[in-house]
Amino acid sequence: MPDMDELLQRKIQALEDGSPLEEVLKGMGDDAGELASLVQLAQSIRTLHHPVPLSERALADRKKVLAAAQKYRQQAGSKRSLDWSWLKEQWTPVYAILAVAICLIVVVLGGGIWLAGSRNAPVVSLAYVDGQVEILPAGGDESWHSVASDEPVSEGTHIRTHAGAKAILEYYDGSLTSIDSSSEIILVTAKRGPGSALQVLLEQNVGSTSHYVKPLKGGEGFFVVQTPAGNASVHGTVFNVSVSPTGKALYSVDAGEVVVSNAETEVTLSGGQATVSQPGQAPAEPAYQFTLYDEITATHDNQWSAAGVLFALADLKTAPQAGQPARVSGRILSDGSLIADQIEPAQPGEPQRRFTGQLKKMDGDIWNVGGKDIQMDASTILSGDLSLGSPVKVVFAVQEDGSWQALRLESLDSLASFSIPPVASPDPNAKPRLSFEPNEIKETACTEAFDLTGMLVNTADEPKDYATNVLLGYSILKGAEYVEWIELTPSGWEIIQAGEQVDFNIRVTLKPSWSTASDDTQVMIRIDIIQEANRSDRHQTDLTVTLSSSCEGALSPTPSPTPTSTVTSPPMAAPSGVFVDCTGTEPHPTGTSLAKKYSVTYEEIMGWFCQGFGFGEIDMVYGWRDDYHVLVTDIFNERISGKGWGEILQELDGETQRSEPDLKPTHKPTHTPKPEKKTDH
Amino acid sequence: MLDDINPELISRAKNGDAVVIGALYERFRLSIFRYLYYRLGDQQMAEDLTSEVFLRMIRSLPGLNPKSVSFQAWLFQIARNLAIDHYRKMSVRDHVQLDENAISRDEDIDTSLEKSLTSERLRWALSRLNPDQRDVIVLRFVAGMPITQVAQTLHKSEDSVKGLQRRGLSTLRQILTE
Repeated sequence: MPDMDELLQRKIQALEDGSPLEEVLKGMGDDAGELASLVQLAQSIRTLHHPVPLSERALADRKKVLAAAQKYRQQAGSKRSLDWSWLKEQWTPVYAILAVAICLIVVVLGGGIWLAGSRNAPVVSLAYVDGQVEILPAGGDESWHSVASDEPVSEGTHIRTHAGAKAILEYYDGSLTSIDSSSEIILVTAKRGPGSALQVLLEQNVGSTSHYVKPLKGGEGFFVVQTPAGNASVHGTVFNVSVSPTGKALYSVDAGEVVVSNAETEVTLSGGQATVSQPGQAPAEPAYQFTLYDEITATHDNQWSAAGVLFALADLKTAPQAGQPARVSGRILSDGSLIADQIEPAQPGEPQRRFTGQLKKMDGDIWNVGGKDIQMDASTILSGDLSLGSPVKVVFAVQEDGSWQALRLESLDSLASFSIPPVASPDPNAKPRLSFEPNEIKETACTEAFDLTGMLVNTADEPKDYATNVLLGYSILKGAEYVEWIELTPSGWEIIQAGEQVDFNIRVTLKPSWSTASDDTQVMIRIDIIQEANRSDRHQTDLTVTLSSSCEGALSPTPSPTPTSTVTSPPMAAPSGVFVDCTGTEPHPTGTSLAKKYSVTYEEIMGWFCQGFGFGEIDMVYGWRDDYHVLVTDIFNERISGKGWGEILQELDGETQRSEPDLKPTHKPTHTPKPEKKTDH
Repeated sequence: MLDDINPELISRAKNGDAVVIGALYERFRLSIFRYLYYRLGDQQMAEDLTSEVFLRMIRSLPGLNPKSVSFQAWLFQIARNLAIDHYRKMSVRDHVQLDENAISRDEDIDTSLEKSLTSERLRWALSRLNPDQRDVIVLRFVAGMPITQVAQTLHKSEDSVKGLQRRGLSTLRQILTE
């Protein structure tokens, strides 16, 4: 019965997408009794309180797993089994290369053996090969032949990747070059110069490459990518070069600075900027970048549109195929217009739209980046040190009204300062004393993602007592079922000097179920030091982070509404202007839906909404009205007076027990009230 | 919401990044434990095997190809294989029989499903499903995995999983109301 299977799945999917059970059941009709019962059972299982493991046991197990991880890391480091596969999956070279760098840090911190080996390593090798990658060795006696990972390559070698293939060159100092599909480069120079300075000259005639270049040592080091249209030279940065078959080159910089030069002139690109250069022509002025993923629509006179954003084509020989999903990337010119330099078929699962620019305004819900207003809200993820004037990258979604909603805002400055620290050797005479200050953070979490700042201090007095190779870890003591993800940034330091304090960011992402958890629900996280090389015994310090589900701060301190005698009367005689102010002129669909659901007026629902209550809370309270036969005004007033939702619910449970022992619900009602309605209104 | 783990984190885990491995442990230990609890019907054994899942995860990370399988599905494959191994080692038939009897004695089975569904009762009912149906029900509604990932975990087609889902729920309902 494939139809029944599919129908059931659709209904369950609707539940998983957040539709209330009643709504899902409503659309099933009378002849689907069996199916409805299965949907109900699925929902019962989903919302059941499932068992949890003992927390003490979980802590012990976590230590065991981490110990195994550390042992594994040492083995991984000694084998140099770096994994590059994720680079293929990532569109954004910043993340890709930054993550490679992080991996390298991990290996460097964890593996003295690795370092010892690296001193004898070749200057450059093909660290990763996927698909058909061929080399033509220098000398001309050999022909093109396929290569595998870990193969050393020497100066003069040609390297080409076929369609769908990818290769990564790793230099002895940890710098990287990623060669995308259908590309060809020549390794003209690859040397260990005076003072171990890296000296690299690549010739790129076609295709795309991305480069992560560690800060070059001394004045002898250089890293140059030569194209038919000019050269890109750097001294420690993350950048990308793309060369078309006609020789036109697109240079873009994710972090640091790149000088693009040819016989005509030179321009300097900083983080977030790009330029194009044609053979025999001066490079264009530096500009910020944009990337869109969507179907392309032709409008008029070299004007195109993707995701509702207008752009012009630079000088593409072939016009893009309208109606096809594509990745459009290019530059934002000084007048704010967009010019597309590259249009390629979009790959499945490619990320959202993005652009770079200077952060010009940080005020309220509307920020401005590079002249473009973007809408911010509590769900916008902020990353790095954001300050006015700094270059940032914005990942955004286009709203129905054409405005841009910022999903993530990331500082590009923070990437520029990123470098791989040298490894520090343990010092048996050092006696560092690390301490978290404060050792306890308590926060009210009203959103699903938030950031906290922790501080670690080396309280030792003597300069010799420095801490080295410090690594943080964490464990969830309570409420693990609500935690989606935790990230500590940074999570490690090479050295913390005596008397020095270092800050770190604690990003906690909670699951959507957190927003519906009762007020007394807590998530408790312990952050501790899982590694420090100068002490064989464990540092006796930890930081406890306690999150409470109460969203007290989200409620505006408005006066209590006047209680009314019947539940059908509007709780407050809220003038219509209030609705305009807090929801806009159009009837809010959720408000309309709730009014219908509980057989009350739209104005009554919006009266509560405009006082600061969320639709979820309003839904819950009206559900309680039906479950416990109480006035919604009484419940809202209790909440406004400072009681938590959990506390109010406990009181309701208690009153029900006292007054109606036979009618007490067998389980606490949820946001979704039971279908049976009270008949006294 | 994170549907799965991104390749960057997997790469860090593959290189032994203890912070990421610790994070993966925290992220999935609860759902793995619950899966094993309902699969094995034994809290103690589920706790033992939960840590073993993550130790095997560390050892198996080099072989993980995030292009071919989601991380979550891959991790639950490890858990499922461990559970199957466990059954092979134990005298499974006796174990389950004893278990069912214990529940039957201890619980007064209420015919009103919605009012009386508890984790213990669910465990008892699940123990009477066939293993594939039980896997699908637990992975879908306890671990909260989407159909695609359940299909990857069980090496089955999505249509097959949808069929198992319907038949599993149907059988479960009969058991719970009989």
